[in-house]
Amino acid sequence: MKGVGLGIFNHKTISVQFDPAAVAFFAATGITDPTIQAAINFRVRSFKGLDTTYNAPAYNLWDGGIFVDYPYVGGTGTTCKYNLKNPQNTDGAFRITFTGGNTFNANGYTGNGVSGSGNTHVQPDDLGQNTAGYYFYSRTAGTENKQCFTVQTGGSDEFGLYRRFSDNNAYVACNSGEQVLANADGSGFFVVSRFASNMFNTMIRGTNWASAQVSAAPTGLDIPIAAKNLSGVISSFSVTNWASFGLLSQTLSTQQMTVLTNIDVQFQTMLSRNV
Amino acid sequence: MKNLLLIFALTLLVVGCTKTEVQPTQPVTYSKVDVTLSKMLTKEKYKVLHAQKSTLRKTVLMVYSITEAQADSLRMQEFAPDQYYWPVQDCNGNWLITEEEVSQTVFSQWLWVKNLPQMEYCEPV
Repeated sequence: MKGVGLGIFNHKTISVQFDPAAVAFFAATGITDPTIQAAINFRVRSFKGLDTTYNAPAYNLWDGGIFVDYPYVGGTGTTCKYNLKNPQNTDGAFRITFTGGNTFNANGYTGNGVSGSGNTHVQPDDLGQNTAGYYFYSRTAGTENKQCFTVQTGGSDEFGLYRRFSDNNAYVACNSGEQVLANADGSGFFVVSRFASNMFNTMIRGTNWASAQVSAAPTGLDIPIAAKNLSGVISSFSVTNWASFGLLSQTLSTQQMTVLTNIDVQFQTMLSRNV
Repeated sequence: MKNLLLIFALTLLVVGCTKTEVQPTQPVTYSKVDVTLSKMLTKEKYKVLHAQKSTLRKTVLMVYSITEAQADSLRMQEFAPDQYYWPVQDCNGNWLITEEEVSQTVFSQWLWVKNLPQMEYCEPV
């Protein structure tokens, strides 16, 4: 069963078949822009393995890995808050609650480094100790000595990352301590997926590193964006420009991580915000 | 001759200081000195150093000063569709809301925030 929508291209009105999940997202957000609609429809169908242009093996990442997905389109707090996988206006559907000073525009979402952040209402223990992961697209290349997001209960990061610390390293944690990875460019697509109790993969702009970090029981704290949730206290606000964000509840293979990277990069290209 | 050299050196120092001032509303950036230091130090030591430097660095990011009572009344109130106030404290314990929160406020009951006094932001350690 396919949804049917209308798109206007080159001054001609033509019918475009949208995936039902895309239609639900448009209904929730009120997005009518044909470019954004086409990009969202591409994203959904590619994640589901229905559009194989950038997903040749037809992996079903939609049901086989992605727990929530935030494409940050539409340029408002309302359009950016919805979870593409379940675009209902409830915390239980993992809409983002944006607090403090934030900026929303065609390039996505950016906190202000003073008070801006969002609460996804997802907790690491929703994702599984040894199956958890996350991905996001950063449009900020420079260094930042604050985590893009993280959940901590102690001295070390437990779930989150510094995309590019001032020592030109990324510090990546996935229900574990931090793995240090050389990274002199803070922009592009990052994806992290745990595949064993003592290992997780980190793919940055298509290059993968396996990290030997032993997992610990995940916390029951809400995962923020653009901030740190330290034992329930929100602090350390980031100014990274996000163009997408998602959380994984099933392990992705490195091939699937590559496909996810390619889909997201193409999505950003369709929106003219790939860097 | 020595006096001339001294005056010249002092002039360069003053000009240099003037050029390195952070412009208003720009986020704090990290200089080459920070990067070099970070390579020399472990991350944890760098964090401590950075925190100490933050208290010394002149900050020109402007924010809006509020009282603690106002912070209590604003916290988690919706100021624009799907955006909520999140008052925070600066390095001196002063309560504040940010430029984005004030400029994007559209709901009539909160329009008084647009008349709040401004102050320079000082990042908490």
